Amino acid sequence: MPTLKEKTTCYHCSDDCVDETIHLDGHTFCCNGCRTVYRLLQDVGLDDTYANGPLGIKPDAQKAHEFAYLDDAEVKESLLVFSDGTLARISFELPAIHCSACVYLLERLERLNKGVKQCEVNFAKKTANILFNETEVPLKDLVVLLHSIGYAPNLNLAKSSQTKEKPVVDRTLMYKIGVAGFCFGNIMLLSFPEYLVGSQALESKWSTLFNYLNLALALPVLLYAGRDYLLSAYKGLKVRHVNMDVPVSIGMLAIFGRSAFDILMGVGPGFLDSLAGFVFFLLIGKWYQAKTYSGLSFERDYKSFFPIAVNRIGADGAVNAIMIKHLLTGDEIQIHNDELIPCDCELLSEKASIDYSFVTGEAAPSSKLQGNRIYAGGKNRGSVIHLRVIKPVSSSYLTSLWNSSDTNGKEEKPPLLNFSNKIASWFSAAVLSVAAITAIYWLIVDPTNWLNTTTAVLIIACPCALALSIPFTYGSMLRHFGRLGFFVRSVEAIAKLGQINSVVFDKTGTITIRQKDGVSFAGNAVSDEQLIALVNMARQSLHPLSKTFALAHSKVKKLPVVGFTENPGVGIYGMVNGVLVELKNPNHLSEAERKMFDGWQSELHGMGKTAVLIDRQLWARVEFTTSYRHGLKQTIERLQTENEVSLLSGDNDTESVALSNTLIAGFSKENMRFDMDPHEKKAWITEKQSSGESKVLMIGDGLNDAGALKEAHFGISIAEDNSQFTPASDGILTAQSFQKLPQLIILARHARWIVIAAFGLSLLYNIIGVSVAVQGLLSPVIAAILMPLSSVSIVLFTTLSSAVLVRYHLKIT
Amino acid sequence: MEVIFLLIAISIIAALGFLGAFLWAVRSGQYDDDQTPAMRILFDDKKSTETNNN
Repeated sequence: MPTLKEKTTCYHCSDDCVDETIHLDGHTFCCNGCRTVYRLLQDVGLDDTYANGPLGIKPDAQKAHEFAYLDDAEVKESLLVFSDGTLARISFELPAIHCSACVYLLERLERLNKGVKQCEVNFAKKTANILFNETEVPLKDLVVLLHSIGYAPNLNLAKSSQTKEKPVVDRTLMYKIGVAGFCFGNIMLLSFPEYLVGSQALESKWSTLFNYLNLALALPVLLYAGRDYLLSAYKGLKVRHVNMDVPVSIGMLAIFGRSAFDILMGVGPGFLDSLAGFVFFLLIGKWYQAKTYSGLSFERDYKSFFPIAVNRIGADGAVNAIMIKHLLTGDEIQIHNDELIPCDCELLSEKASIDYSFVTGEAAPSSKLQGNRIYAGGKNRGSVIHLRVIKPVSSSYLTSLWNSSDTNGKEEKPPLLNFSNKIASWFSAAVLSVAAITAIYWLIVDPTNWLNTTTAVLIIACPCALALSIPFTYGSMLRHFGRLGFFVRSVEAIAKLGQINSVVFDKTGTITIRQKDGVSFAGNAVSDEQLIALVNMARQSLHPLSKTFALAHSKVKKLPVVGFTENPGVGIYGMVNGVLVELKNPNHLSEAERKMFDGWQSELHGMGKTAVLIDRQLWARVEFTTSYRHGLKQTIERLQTENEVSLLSGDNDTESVALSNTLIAGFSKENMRFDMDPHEKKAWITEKQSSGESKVLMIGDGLNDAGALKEAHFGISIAEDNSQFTPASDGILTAQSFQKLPQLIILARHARWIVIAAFGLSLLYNIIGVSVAVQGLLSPVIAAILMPLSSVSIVLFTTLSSAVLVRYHLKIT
Repeated sequence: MEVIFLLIAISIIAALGFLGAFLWAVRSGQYDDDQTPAMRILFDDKKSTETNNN
């Protein structure tokens, strides 16, 4: 008799078909939902969705009643971008978008519902912009439609409190690059004859024309494309502060001034090609540095986790959806199973089971009785409960986690800016003194030449290469990190990561794997038949351990259970295929059985144990062990060589033995803290960093770490997949890349060395150029060769050495 | 050689035309999303053309 089902995958969502397999048109489906979507797509001729294989998303069960609040005029108004009563436009965030078939399907949404007029997807941002007819398809139905095909939109408080205006895309940098590139190309073209045949040979009328044209082309470069540099330098100097834009502006003005003078006086062609090239390269550097991951959000606060509306019970007993910002103290609200409690409340129902894993990281739900206080952020597990609001949303416990960190003013100067400013002031001083010495020397030796040589020094010392080192080094690091599964908010954040010397981990979900707790047996061997019976019985129960057990054996075939009985707190039993199986809380075993039960040896410290009884005889023990991330031990070990590594957990300390075991994790005993609530975690980090010596890297995953992530010098949130909701942080690390963390930190640290080497290289160019310039020998040709050469070589040097560094550090894993 | 005046003028006008085209492309949002359009063309919408013809 075959015991385990052969592996079949669903034609729609590509999951393994577990419980049931539905056959249709020669394809297999794992559930009715998938089949329905398949049919739906077939009917409207969208079967091309499967052209590249399964779509890979499981549709949601339709929960129309949950979206009743979307009929509310105020809610609608807060969500819609535009509406004239019939036609309306809305922009949804659809985290499930992941492949080209998603784009195909969503952009043909109008075939599924005639009310949809147009749907435009932005793949990188995972958004869909939908134009629809409100009278044909109300917003509520549109949301239900998206749910039914598997694309659940993000509807939360943050979305409804967004500002109305359409986000303006800043395209000025693109315009500037276009203008600078255009002028650069044309100036080079017009300067070319000058270099080719020498100014003497070129007829003067041509040369004059070309020079004047160049001057005209250089004006937009200086005044439009390069305006930001001039303004920033001016602003800096006004507050007596030298930033990198000061030497850049000195160079730009020196080149333009000298060239304009030469051209208007008719003494030479000037250096305008160098100016245009220089500005063009700088803008390219700026663009390269500005790379962002638009599909990821690094800014989420509690609002992204909260619903838009809840059900309020009015004085007359009628249930109405109300926006949660309008909730007042004393209001009575109704929370369904799996819904989030948006504010601090008092329980009116008899009892409730509240899951705080979202807030505290504690896995087991806690029971509350009538009159108990329930904090915001908990999720209701079980039947509908009624609550009375004690505090409005804006002053709830959870909200205070964010608000308090906003005001502590830890904003220090970003390290990269600090570094480049230091270099800039030093550099400006050096350039100005060399120019002054040159001027004095030539005033004594040959007064007719002093202006020429002094401006030549200023021109050639222009720190183009210097200014490109940082954007290109950190810009390419940012890209390499992205490829390795680590998404960093900005280049500035990479520099901050390079400074850390203390690493703090959260436990649940960060170093443990969610919902993948290991299940193993100890005691007598369990036969296949017994296992099938046990699993089928466990499937009937809603107890977390039963669910974990059933999930771990999800491929076991389905059989009917006879006489299933659940004794809360004691256990479950039932008859499957003639076998009477029972899962029991060991505390309810007899004394002798209890001894035998405890005698069965196990290797790891488990989070829970359950007795298995077959035909009323104690047979075996099921152990539930938390599974830690793959490579945890090596990761911690490597981090410990250069950093202090600690653990802050919201859970109790049952796992401390395992976590300090060097074969599993190897945390040192004194660096582990348990039973920490979100505020304590944050306070711990504040205290750690208060001395100024420690810079903490916090790695967490949930809302319970949000305060700590924000407080730490650098916060990383771990995401199992790209669509997971992560709290605000400086970087998002995908779970598969967890082991690479030590190398990523080292890379961030070493990026600084690349920048320093690039600075050295560009200084070398400057010394060569200046030594020519002080002698009064600088000609436009030399400048035109030396300046682009230095810029290009810096770009090549920084990007190549970053690539080499990344390859080197990841090879030694 | 006087023709160079004309040629220079034409070349700069042509180049300005390209600059204008680039600026227009940026302004019309063609550079805002450089991923989705590449996917959009992967699917032939044969079914819809058939129904349109019928």
